[in-house]
Amino acid sequence: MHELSFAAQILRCVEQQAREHRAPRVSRLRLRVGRLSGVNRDNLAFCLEAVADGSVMQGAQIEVDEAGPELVCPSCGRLPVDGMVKPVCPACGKEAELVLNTEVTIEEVELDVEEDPTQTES
Amino acid sequence: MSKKIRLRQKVEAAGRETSEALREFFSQRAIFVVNLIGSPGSGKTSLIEAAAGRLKGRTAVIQGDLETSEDKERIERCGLPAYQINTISGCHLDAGQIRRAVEEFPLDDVQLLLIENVGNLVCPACFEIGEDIKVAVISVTEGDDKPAKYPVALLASAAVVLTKTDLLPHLRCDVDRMAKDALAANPELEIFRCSAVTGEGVDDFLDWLEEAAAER
Repeated sequence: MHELSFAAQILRCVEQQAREHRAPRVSRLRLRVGRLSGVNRDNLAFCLEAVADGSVMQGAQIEVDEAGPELVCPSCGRLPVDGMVKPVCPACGKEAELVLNTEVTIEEVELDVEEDPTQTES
Repeated sequence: MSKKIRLRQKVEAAGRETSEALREFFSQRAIFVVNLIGSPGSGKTSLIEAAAGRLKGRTAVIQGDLETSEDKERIERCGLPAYQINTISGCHLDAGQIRRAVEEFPLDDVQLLLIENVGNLVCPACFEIGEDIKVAVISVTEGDDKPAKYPVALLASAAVVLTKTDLLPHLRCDVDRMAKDALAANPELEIFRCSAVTGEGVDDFLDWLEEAAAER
């Protein structure tokens, strides 16, 4: 319901990255949206498209992954759960960490950067 | 040429900075702030009315509604100062609205500020408005499936008040199921069963609230 404000903040952050790397264009953006974040993925994608118009992010390929709550067990790795559960691994019984994933994060930005002829490294 | 940048950067909801500034503002004045969230008609205003006798003299109330100042008037009739925010079509209060409210609403000698959010069990859960805690208000008349259906509100809250318990004899409502589902959504929740009509549970809730304020 408040996806537009998230979209605006994401754009601000992406624009800053583009500026820092002197990139005229952002080609790809990967986001992670918590299922318990209150942010709808489809609405967010729609809002991003709207705010990207005329910016370095215009036309960028946008991927939005969903992250639900999970238990992180030191032995068994990540196990998805329905919601708040005891922090105990159902597989091995060891103490595990409950990660709710209630956030929206920018995972990765891919920028189109101009070749710099003064740099020899590729 | 393309360049991949791994960011892993958290995107803060809009108004987060304003909310933090408000939290600082309230903390400097030693005001404990409670954000009451719940559906329209869940009994948020009635709960404040039932608590008003005990809270008088140190408590102020900010009311959020789309229209009317009826709730402000109800609270004032109980002897508590109140300020009304009308959101017109907004589904929740935001930090900017609270900032503007506290510019106009005097908070001298206030130790407890209750902010009654717009009636809505969804959106208000996701917005911080400078509060110390959120308290969810769910009435038994809404149906005993509501805690299971609205876990995000409970996850964001420190306590849930199950209201209108005086009506239980007339309802097909399993209030124990409500408590169980609420704890499944958030095992750290405090659960209160209250009736604004009989006064049942109101003191227990206020005892806990005072303790929470003292512990901050």
